[in-house]
Amino acid sequence: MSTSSQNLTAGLSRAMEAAAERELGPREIERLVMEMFDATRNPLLRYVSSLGMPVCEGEEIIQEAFLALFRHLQLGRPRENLRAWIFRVTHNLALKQRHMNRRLLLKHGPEPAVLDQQRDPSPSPEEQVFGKQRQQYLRAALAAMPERDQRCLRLRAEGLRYREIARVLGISLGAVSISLTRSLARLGRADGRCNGERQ
Amino acid sequence: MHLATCERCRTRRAELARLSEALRATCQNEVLPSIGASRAQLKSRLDELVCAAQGETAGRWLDRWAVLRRVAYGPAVMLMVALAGLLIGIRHHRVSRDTSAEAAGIPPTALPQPNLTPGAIRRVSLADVCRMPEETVGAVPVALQREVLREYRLQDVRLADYELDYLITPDLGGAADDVRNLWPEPHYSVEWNSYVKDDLENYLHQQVCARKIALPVAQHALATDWIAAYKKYFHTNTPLAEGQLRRLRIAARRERRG
Repeated sequence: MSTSSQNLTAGLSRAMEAAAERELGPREIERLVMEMFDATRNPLLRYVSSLGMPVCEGEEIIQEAFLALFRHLQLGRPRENLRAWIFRVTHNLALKQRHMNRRLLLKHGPEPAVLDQQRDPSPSPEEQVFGKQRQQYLRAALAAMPERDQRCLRLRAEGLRYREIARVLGISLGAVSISLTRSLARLGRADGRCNGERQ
Repeated sequence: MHLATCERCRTRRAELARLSEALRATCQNEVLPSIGASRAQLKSRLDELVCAAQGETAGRWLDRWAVLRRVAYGPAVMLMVALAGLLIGIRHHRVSRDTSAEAAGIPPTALPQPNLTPGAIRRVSLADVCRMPEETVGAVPVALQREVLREYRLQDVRLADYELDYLITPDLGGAADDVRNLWPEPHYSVEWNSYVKDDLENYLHQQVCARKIALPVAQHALATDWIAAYKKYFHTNTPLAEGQLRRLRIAARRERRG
């Protein structure tokens, strides 16, 4: 998440917490939800895509998550740290859908439309032409990591704090710390190899 | 303070910052579709929810105004209203489960129609139930979904606003392809929604496999009145917040280990 996007989301969260003492009307809740959508839709879509979801399914999952946010606010539920809340709900919905997709895949085989929407992990022609070798190394190192480490790194890359990552993934703060320490060390080694080859 | 005096840690911090920036650039260097279409779709769906919420509020105000007008028409009218109210009250003692649910503040759609969805189970042992991973059943076929919605006279609604839920979850031996075990449960428009029912199903599964609750008892609880079962097992009259549920899960895990 860019700094401006982080600031916008943090500002929205503060506005919502400040409004926590008073009841919000449906239109006001709708406005806040749309502002949050504008600020977090791209990071959420990137994260959901990193879980292997096709983009169109990722969009639908994010829609469901924001509809759930509307209902959450309408029922007067807690409003602190809604950024972590929306990531957690999106994460859970994506895992559920991915599990269902895998079962359908085992049962019926892959659909061509779904295959077309899967991200191609090989470097694009642009990356090859402009020599973004470093990103290739980092992406390969990322793809080789255990799934939990990948998720922690992806969420960290989107600007979530350690505590928020722990809440999204349902793991302890210590586990997040260990995972990120280990993963960043691996990335560092991959980065070092890339620098070594350049020289 | 430490960083000011420790060059090794300053170097390490700079290295981590550089790596984090490279990681962020790598992860965010992906072309995404424009936000416009998805934004418009969300706005449209939210507008429907807002209109529904405003319609409920207006309806409540109209009902109150109608009562006030009747009361203002003099003692005779008041007596007639009182007698009418008495007759209606007597009739309401013979309520169906749906009407009693309304009186308890639970919209009818939060519970299935017992004549349409009585529930159905398959032959399964306790060992099978506890050996199965969660969500072992795939998506409900679209044709079956449409059949259930037709039975509930909801054939014109958007599928995404409802979950075609199993009354008795397959994880507890419910039949997966029987229309009598399926019903359209709203996602968002009611407090007692499909997500709340998921929490109850997970809890019952844990308790059944821990031999705390018999499998037929869990199945009966889901088939008859899952909201009453939720209130009973979670000792609450309203759905629990996420933090409270997490504490219950932790306590259940400790109990199993102990």
